[in-house]
Amino acid sequence: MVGGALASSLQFPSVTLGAPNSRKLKVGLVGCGGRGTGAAAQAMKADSNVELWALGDAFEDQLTKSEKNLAKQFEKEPDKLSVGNRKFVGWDAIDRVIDAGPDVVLIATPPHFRPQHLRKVVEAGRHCFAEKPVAVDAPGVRSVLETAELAKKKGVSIVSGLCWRYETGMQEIMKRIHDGAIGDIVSLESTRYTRGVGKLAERQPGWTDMVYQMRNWYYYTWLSGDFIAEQFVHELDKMAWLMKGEYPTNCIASGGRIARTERKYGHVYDHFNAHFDYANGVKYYASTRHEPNTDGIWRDHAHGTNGWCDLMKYTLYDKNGKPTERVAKKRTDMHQLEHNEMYASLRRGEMINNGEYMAKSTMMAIMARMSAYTGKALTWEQAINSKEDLSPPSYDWDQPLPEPPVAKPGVTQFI
Amino acid sequence: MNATLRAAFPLNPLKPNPASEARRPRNAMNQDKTNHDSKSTRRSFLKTSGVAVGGATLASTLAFPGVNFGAPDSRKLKIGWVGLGGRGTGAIDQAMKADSNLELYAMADVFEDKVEAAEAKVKTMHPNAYNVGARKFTGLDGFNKVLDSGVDVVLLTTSPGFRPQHIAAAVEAGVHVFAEKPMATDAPGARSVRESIKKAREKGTALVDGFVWRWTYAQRDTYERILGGEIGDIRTIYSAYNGNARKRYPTWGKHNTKTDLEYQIRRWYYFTWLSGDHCVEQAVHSIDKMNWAMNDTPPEYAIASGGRQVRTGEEFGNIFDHFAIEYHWANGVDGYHYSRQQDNTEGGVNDRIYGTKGVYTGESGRKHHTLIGDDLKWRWKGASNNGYQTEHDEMYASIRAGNPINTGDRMINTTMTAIMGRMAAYTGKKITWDMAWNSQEKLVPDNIKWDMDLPVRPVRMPGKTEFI
Repeated sequence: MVGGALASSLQFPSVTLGAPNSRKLKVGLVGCGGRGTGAAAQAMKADSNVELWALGDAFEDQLTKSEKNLAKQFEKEPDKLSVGNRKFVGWDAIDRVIDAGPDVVLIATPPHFRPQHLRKVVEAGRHCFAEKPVAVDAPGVRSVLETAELAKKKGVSIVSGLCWRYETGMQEIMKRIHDGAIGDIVSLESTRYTRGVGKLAERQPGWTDMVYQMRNWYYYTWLSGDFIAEQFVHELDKMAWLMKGEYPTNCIASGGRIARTERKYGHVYDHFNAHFDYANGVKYYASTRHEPNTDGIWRDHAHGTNGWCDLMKYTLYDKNGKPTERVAKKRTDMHQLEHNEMYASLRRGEMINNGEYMAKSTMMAIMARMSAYTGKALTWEQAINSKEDLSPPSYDWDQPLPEPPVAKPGVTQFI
Repeated sequence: MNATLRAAFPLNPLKPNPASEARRPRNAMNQDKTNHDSKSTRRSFLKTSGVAVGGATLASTLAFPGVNFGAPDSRKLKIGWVGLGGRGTGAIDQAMKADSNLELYAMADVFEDKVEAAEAKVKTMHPNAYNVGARKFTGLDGFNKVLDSGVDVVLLTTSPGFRPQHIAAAVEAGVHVFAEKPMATDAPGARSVRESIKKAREKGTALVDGFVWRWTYAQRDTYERILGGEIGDIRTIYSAYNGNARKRYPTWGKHNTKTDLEYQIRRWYYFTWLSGDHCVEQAVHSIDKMNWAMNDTPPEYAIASGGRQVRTGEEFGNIFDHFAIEYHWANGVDGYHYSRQQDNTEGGVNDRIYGTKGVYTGESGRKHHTLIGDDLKWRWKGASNNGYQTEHDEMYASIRAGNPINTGDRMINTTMTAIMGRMAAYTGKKITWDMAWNSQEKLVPDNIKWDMDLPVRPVRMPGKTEFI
């Protein structure tokens, strides 16, 4: 945190430093899907003097739906919504939202676009709330790490949508673990088995490949990063937090597609299993699945020399396996809290920069995905220096994009 | 090792066999022998010999079939051999080397060409021990003919789907049994084996498994230390069995097999009913070590994922090519088992056990075993053995000593642990130990006949495949 004297010398763009609620903050949203719409609503509730100023999306219907949804949510506070005609549709929506002059930009497009959008927001000197994950490939992660440094220089905030970091109970249990409640960490485990997400959109006559894939972005690795990055990054990030920002040195993973095999589900996997090695000998076993009609399980365990912890139950156990303390009773509204913190810090004239962990936790997911796709064991150095750039040849609605093959370990190459 | 030493061998499956103990008189050995059952404590388990039959008095009253009790090498033991493939050939070789007074007396395989090949091999390896004569049997009931021929011991090394009925018949016939792992491919089969284990114990006949690491000194030494608490309380157990997808049976296909059954038995590994899938047939070795670390307390439940990503052709039947199984024990210990069979991928067969005082790291293939903790730095440096040999050495020694080994309980628990994991992966459901044991799904058909209609079951799909 930057202190008062130092802070006053920084140029906090668009926010008057140190003056609580000094003026109305304008918020722009790019990526008007469910999560983006949710983030916009949470931003509006996070501070008494903010307004939604501009909307952007690749698709007009998505934008209209989001606008209607927000209008309904805030029908009693109409002055929160001041979008007017600042509604931008198309590939350049991000540029036009930025040009409209918001103080804060929320970016919630498919993860593929995060690195380039984040860079534009930070270069323009706007504060940014960036949904997770923040990239789909290693070049994207490297770009985000650069942008995070740039944000520090420019004195703009980057708040990450890795919301567990803002969850009160999780903060408390992490504090206990960091204070030594279970001794030195020995091994970590995460399992998140779910039924997955439904088909997003059926292909309509006249849709080009690009339209179809963008409409079904979850099922294309170039857009979502596959679900281990898109969703399971939360669990990986919790463990990165627990490990005090240390990231694994090695990874070996397997995975496949056994239940969600129809072509309409693009080419992403439906299960991954990864294990990570840390330099200090800690091992992390991580499994995730998206398979309809299977049993769900969602748990994170940390084993130490002096006990163990069930993170999702906020419960500490002693060496004999006896529960000793439950540090929180119920889950707080972390999606709201992350925005509350963001605006509170802006009002104090302080900067939040979640850039490094959001980039590296995303990298952890990409590392495991690349290992599962190729069947190769990867080092962190190999993974973060991967040359594989998943970008399409062009961002053109008519760009031909053949259905990508499903990765085959031992056949798919690590690049 | 000579016969006298063998006769006096303390039959502790958890211990290497130091020479000092080998010289102890048998009555002394019997004194500290206690019945061990699932309720016995770890400490008492470690102390006992691991032999289920009690002291000398009890043992002498049992009719040990075919062997005069207490008389080393008292007579020639007749060996029967059922399932004449590669592992079986290894097993018969090891049996012949385990005891100086054995003969191969009868053998059977479903296929005639296997019988001919086996005969040629054994005649080359052990020309003086080959006494099969006309007792060479083929066909689906060959095993019965072997048992009827009057053998003392039978080696069961067919594909695992047949194991339960073979074990049942052999135990019923009162012969000593060496049964390769795994012991079954489905729960009905496992339940049958459980009954056979009891019966063998009542009859006092040997029932010995092929979980090779249990018979390997390096593992015995290491796991005795782990069970003795050297790395503290166990928190997490991990095992990996990642390898390539060796192409099996390149010469056998639809073109040169006449019926569904022949095709499937010729390519048995690729069909779940015959092999149990690779997590039950191969990676079960690693699952066995996980159970060993838990002192053979089976897990409470399993959740698992898996699939078939590379080995997808029709010729590869219906098994998966990778599994990730999470086991949970009632005392809160978690176990993670990963296995895959995919060419050109990162391999590695290794085990790790995390305790509150240290970590065990093992690579069985390289005989590398370390225990590392704050005040602990141990690496196994003992004399190594070939567990495949030792399992036979100890089996015949126990028969000669009149205390035939019965390792049935752990071998069926481990088999069922692997099947439970497979069920969880196939269905996408959390499968408890009780659910697994009570499963009504019968994979192995009754009344198997060569010309039966036996379509290949589609590859299982989690969420769609029902748990039965």
